[in-house]
Amino acid sequence: MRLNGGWKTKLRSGFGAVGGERALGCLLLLLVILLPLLWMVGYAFLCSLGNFGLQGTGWTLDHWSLALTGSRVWRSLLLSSTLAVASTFLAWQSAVWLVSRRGGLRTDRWLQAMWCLPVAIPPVVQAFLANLCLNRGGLLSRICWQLGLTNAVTDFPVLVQDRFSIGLLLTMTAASIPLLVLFLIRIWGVARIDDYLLTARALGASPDFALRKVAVPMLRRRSRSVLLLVLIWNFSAWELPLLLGRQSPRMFSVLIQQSAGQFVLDERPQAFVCVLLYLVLAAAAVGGLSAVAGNFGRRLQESDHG
Amino acid sequence: MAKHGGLDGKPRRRGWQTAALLCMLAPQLFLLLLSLGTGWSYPGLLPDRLDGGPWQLLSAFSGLLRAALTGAALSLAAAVLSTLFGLLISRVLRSSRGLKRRLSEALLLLPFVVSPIVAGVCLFDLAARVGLAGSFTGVLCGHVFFGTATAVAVLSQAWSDQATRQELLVRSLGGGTLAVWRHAVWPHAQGPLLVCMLQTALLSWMDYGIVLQIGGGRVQTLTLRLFALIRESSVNQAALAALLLLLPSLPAAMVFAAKYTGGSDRALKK
Repeated sequence: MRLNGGWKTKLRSGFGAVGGERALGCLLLLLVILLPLLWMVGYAFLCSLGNFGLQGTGWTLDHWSLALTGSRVWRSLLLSSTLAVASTFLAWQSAVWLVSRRGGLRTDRWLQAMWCLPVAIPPVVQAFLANLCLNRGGLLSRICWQLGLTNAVTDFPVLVQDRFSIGLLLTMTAASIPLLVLFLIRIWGVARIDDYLLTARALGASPDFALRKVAVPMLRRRSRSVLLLVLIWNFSAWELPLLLGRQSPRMFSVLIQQSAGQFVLDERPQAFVCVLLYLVLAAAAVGGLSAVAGNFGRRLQESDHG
Repeated sequence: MAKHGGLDGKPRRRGWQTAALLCMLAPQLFLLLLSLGTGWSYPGLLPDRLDGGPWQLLSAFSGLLRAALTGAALSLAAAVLSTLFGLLISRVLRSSRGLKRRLSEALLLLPFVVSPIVAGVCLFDLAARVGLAGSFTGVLCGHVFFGTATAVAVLSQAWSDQATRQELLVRSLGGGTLAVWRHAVWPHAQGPLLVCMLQTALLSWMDYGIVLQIGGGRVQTLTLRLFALIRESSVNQAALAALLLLLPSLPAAMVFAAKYTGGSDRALKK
């Protein structure tokens, strides 16, 4: 049931925060959210132009040209986006497979509850665990030795800080799966996919065909916002690549943090060029999110009225 | 309801459940095993000596325990403040319309998306200028920035049309702000408030970027200790730190499970 639109508009000032409560809320919005955001953008902008911060030298565009003409920033952007897209895609495929092919997961609350456990693992612990398991002297390598598959440490492939970032990709994928699984289970119920599958089966589709042509497209449409969120989170991953990634090229967040505050202070203004690039990407993601969420909301309303 | 894949006999289902439970608890069990011993030399799967070494150090009020307490205090304070701020801001958002509302919503999404480490790199100078760098309060401010955005996202779901009607009723019967909060806001926000506090507390508990950048090593939390121990390559101590970091995930998972699972049943009831 929803309120009549006209009534709602007429009584607009009658609900939500009014008077002093509204002023307090606006002040908090300004102080807690807006001020830090504005500071971040302004500070990064001024620092990248060399005129602010700890070693301001005066207006210059040198840092921009140095950062944008060198290969360091672009290589790390490429690495971050490739890994983000690949890990999100793999996690999505695995989550869809788990939710659609393992029916028990959708009906058994006990199984669902267990998927909440890995969601609450901090990224630092994820990185530590991955390092313990995938390292050349780690758990997997030891198991291979015990089974007689390898004879020495060097027989096990390099999976941590390796050339192709395989360990990092595996860990990022594994870390994204639980959240997607929980979300897909929820969508499966809310969108009543079981009813659609039943209809498809009644019309003569095989179970496999119905899953591929009905369930998966429905899941995909409805999870665009979460996929975008997972994508940008994976893009900005920091703890995992700090421990599992190579030093060159570095993931984007690692590049920003290390060039902003470690070893070579000359690179600091360039780090803020990267921060601005990152913020533009994040803002684009937010724009995409609100667009997708807006469409989703409208579709829900239409289906409510229909 | 249509059934696909493995949902047939009971024994098979119970097998699945046990296997899943073992899979999900494997990290905790592995860390517990490592933390119970000393050393972990190559081909062995178990620690060299099972003597509970790291645990003995923990009992003698070591840095690890102090870091855990600092982290707990930090996440408790961050959870309370973020939830309160989020509640107030989400009520402002509700009474505004059009461009202003969409703009504020987008602004609130930004901290949700931006990586804490990038924010920390930029906000360190601000914290240093107001004298908060390297202090508990500075780190808390950083966590509240992220926590409030999360809280608004969670609490916006609390405001249904029923809540609006109830509020209008209280107002038209002559109730002031206090009465509205008591009779309309509180009954609807109660449930989401718990989830919101838990989520913001976890956010602060898991954070490494803000603590490292703004705390500058002077505010020691478990994540910071864990990374230091990994760098020292003391595997057993690090395993204990990681295990302590995982402790709150158990009750959190229980609350999330109670709140968010069973989607298909609810949809059928609708």
